Amino acid sequence: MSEPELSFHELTQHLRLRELPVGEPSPDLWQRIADTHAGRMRRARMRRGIIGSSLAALLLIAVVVAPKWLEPSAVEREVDWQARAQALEMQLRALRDSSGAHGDNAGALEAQSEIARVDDALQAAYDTGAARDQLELLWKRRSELLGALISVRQRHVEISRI
Amino acid sequence: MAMNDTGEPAAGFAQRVDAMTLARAQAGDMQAFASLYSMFGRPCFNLALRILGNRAQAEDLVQEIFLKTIGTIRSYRGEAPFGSWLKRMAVNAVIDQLRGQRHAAETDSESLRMAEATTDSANPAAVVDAWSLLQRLPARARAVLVLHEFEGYTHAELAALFGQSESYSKSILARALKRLGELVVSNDESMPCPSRN
Repeated sequence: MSEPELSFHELTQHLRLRELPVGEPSPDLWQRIADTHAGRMRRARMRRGIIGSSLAALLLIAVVVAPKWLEPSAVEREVDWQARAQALEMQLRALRDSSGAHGDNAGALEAQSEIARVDDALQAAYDTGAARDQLELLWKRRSELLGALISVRQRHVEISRI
Repeated sequence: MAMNDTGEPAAGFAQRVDAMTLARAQAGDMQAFASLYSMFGRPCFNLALRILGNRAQAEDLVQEIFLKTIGTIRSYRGEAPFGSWLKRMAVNAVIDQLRGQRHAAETDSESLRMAEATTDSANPAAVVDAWSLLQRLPARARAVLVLHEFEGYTHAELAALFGQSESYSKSILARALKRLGELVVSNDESMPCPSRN
């Protein structure tokens, strides 16, 4: 059996391939395309709106709220450590008056000697006209030591009462 | 109306688009896109239908092509006629579709009904038969045949489209023609056969 050997030219003549029917798309196809496009645009606008709102919210947080979060460190810088140390000193004296004389434990003794060293440093700093930051650091250290000493003595008083 | 080389009104993808319509479309005017669709919707549909052989798939593809056109028309710089630019996009979309689908070789009955309903040939039965035979080719073979013989693509262009060599395109076309010839011989005893050299 011989193989068919029709050329494309012969095939087109025979089958009228050149006259292949032309179809018409559905009459509503353009409307479907336009509707789909409109839907996509709506969704894109919505996405842009959500992204825009999120960015605006983030900006608001950055501008308004974040500085408030950062405030503690600013407040910390503004603390008058000298006044605080003096207040703690009065608190310590009141504690001693109310509980009477008593022997200090090692922790309290250590704090007291450290306070004495800080006092010497403070005096030297004032004598040499040290910078405000340096004085602030020493007053801060003194406040912390006084606070620790008060805690130790308060615990000691509580134990004595028990 | 734009004319082709023979002085006849341009048709299909060869239609010329006036600059105003293009400018309006590039500015996002949907009425301008509707005008473009009225000019090129049918050529796109027929290109897709001839290759895919399925009306619903062809319409989906036309929708995809025009949505892409709406989204990318700003990138059209006018180096080639708009119809050529759109045709390239349409052909690429069809090839992508072919890559993504498992082709059923059977004739699509809906396409045949559509062909029967819309043909204006002197012999509708012969045209429908040609259509049915074409649809019995594997999808890639049909795509190569339609693009080469009807749309004027060269083998070099087809090779680029399919990401293959020119010899691949030539081989596919030769096999498609051979297969078509076999189908003619085996399916068309009633029609007079052309003389063979």
